[in-house]
Amino acid sequence: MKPGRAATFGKSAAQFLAGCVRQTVAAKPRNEPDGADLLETVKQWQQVFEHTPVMYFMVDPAGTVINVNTFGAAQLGYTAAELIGRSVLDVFFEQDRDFVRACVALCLETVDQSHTWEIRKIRKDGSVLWVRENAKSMLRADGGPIVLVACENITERKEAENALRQSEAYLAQAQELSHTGSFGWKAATREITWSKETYRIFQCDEETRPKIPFMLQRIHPDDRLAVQQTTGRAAREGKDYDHEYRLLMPDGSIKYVRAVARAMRDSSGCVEFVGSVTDITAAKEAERRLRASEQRFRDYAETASDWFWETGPDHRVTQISEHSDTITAPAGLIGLTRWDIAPDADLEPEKWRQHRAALDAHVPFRDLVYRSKDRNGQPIYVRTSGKPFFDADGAFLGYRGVCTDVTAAIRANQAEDALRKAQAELAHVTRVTTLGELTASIAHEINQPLAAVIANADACLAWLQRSPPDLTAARRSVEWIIEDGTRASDVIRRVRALAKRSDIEMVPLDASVVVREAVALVQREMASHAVSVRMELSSALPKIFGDRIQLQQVLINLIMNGIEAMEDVHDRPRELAIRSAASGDGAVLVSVSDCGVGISEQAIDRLFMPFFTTKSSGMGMGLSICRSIIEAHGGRLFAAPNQERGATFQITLPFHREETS
Amino acid sequence: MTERAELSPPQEDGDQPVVFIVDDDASMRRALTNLFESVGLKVEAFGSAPQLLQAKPPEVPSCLVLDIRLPGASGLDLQSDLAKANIHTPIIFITGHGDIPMTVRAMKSGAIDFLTKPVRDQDILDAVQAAIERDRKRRDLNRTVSTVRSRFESLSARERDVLSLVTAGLMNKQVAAQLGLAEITVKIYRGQIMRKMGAKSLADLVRMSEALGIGPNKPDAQT
Repeated sequence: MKPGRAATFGKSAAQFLAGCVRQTVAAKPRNEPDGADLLETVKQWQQVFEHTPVMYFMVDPAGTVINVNTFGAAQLGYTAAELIGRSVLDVFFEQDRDFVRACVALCLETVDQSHTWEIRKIRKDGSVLWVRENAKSMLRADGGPIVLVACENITERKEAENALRQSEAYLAQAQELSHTGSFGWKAATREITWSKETYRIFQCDEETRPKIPFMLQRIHPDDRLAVQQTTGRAAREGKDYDHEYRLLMPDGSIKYVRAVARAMRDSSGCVEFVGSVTDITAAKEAERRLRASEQRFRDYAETASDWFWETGPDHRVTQISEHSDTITAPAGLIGLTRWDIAPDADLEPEKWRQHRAALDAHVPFRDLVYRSKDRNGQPIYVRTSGKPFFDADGAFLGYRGVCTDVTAAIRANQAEDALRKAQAELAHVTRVTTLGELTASIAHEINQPLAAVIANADACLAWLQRSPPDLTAARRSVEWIIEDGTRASDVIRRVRALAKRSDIEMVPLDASVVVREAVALVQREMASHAVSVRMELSSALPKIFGDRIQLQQVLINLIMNGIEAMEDVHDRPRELAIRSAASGDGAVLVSVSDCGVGISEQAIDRLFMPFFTTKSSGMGMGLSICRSIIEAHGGRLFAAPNQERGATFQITLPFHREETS
Repeated sequence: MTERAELSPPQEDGDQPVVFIVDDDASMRRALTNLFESVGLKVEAFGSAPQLLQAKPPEVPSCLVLDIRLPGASGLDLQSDLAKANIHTPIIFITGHGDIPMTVRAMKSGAIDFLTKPVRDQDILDAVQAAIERDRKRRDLNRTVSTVRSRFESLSARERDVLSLVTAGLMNKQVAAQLGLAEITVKIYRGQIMRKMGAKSLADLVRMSEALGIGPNKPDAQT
């Protein structure tokens, strides 16, 4: 009830009091002679007026307090004397004063008619006093009207009302915030009451009373029957219910709600329900998304060839993801540690020592590769990574991670290694074959210094046998013997290096030096074929990175090809030009040009193919191997006919880049 | 070994023999030079055939030690080139890889010897000695023939006729009859011939005419 809402009222204390006073006043002429009695009566009533626990005010038409009883003044924190003579408006709030004036005016207009309203008053200390005022005007003996007001303190009730209103507001707020409305349902009378939020959930006008047909119409057609069954059974049996269903809203959207109700019996024994209905659409949506996401990850996990594992604090496997369609994920590992599983644990103790150290330090690990077995017991290679996980207090719980079957990759690596090895083998074989072709030249290269050694030794003896012995000449002979012996052993060393089945040794090299060494080995071959060599080698070339022997093999091969290409040349000098230079694009260029028969356009395409040969002898592997050697060095080998005569084979090899930090 | 010292007999008047070496391998060239010098031989070494051909032909007994596989022209080519140039210095071939066809060709073309590297010192020194001896004889012979020839060329036509008939074994009377001369005239020619040719006897004269290749002419051949 709002402050100052007036209402016409029936009998009240004020009426009674006013009545009494009137009776007293009216009785006076009749009981004229008894003045003492009258005084006594007045006194009595005075006492009543003063001490009755009702606040009484007498106000004149201007609103001035004519009289107030002690209780009334005290309630406002004043003495009676303080209030008498003041405007009654002083004890009202500014904003309520117009209402007070209107009420007083109403009373004055309707003499003897009583009016009632509730209004706030201000105590002397500024606090609020809620009162219900009961007032009426009456005419005094002199015909002037006065207004009599009796007030009842309703502050407590008002506060309770406010508190209730507050709590209702809170509840409404809470319902709104939690998307939970409340309802009541009397099964027998089919009477339904809804909270504001319930109205909102059902999107129902608050003015219309909720009816079961309306509700059913709102419920999604697919859920209607189930709702009816649940609520029907609950009503019949007087039992609580808790169910979820969907609402089909007017705009076509779908709302998920959960209704929970408690069954109670009213005084007449009829079943009634009190419950809540919660809009769980958002939760449902979140759940749906979570489920979708979970499904998504499950799908990933199950379709991936990887599998997921979890180990406990003791590093024993606690969980492994299920893979129905793959045999690679091992089975039966629960309770084992990784090093129990791996058969290579004994073979590579250092790897596992490091791994266990990482686990005990509770740090993540990546890409541990180890041998394992698949479900069929076939050996596989597994690569795994994992990270530790902890509880909320930071206590170590174990590791979670993923395993990948890397058998194929490892096998491919092994195959590649084998291929590389086979290529190196083949390169070696052809190198030895080339050396075989060079045997005569090489024998000569070795024989020549040996012959010189022997001749010098014989000469040395002769010098010594002279009389007197020519020691100077003898010493000179011995020095030459040493030189020639060294030369012979150099040749042997070079040949052995070429013949040796050595691992590829990639080192920074000067291409010009490599060329010179290669040419030294075939010098004789060129001489015996009457081929002269012109070398245009750049000094101070940037280093290349390569295997000396293999590069020499390539060069020897190209030189031998050049020599052979000029076999039938008789009308001009047989000249082989070997050049080295730095090219503009960070590579060293080495070329071998002959002036021989040249290469036809058709042959150029097939030149580097295995088993292609224009010679009657030879496998046709030479150039194919040369190219694979050069390509393994990150370079290129190609051939082109010369403009005039013959052909040029060109090698490019990238500069060696120093490892920069 | 002591014989080797004998290989360097004291030679007078610059008639010391020379060994020519042609080998493209510098150390081989050096070693052979050293070997020949150690036994007192004079050596001239060349790196290639053209270098040798540019050098002055030897005036003394000499021989040529040749690597059969020379760059450019082979040793065999050089052999024929020298023959064409009428240089008859004896040749000893050495080779690192002797093959039979080459050896045969070399020997047919008049090579003294064919040695395989590494050569035994005795073998090559013997070969060189033999070659030089041969060259010396050839040179001596050449020198004798040219003296006889110049003497022969100093004879008059009639004296040459007489010489050929005398050396053919005809008696003075027969010569006189053949040439339509008096026997006494033949005797005078004969004395002049003996003096001019420096012959001490008829046998001397016969040898000389053989060296000149005019031989004992058959009388009928003259007609």
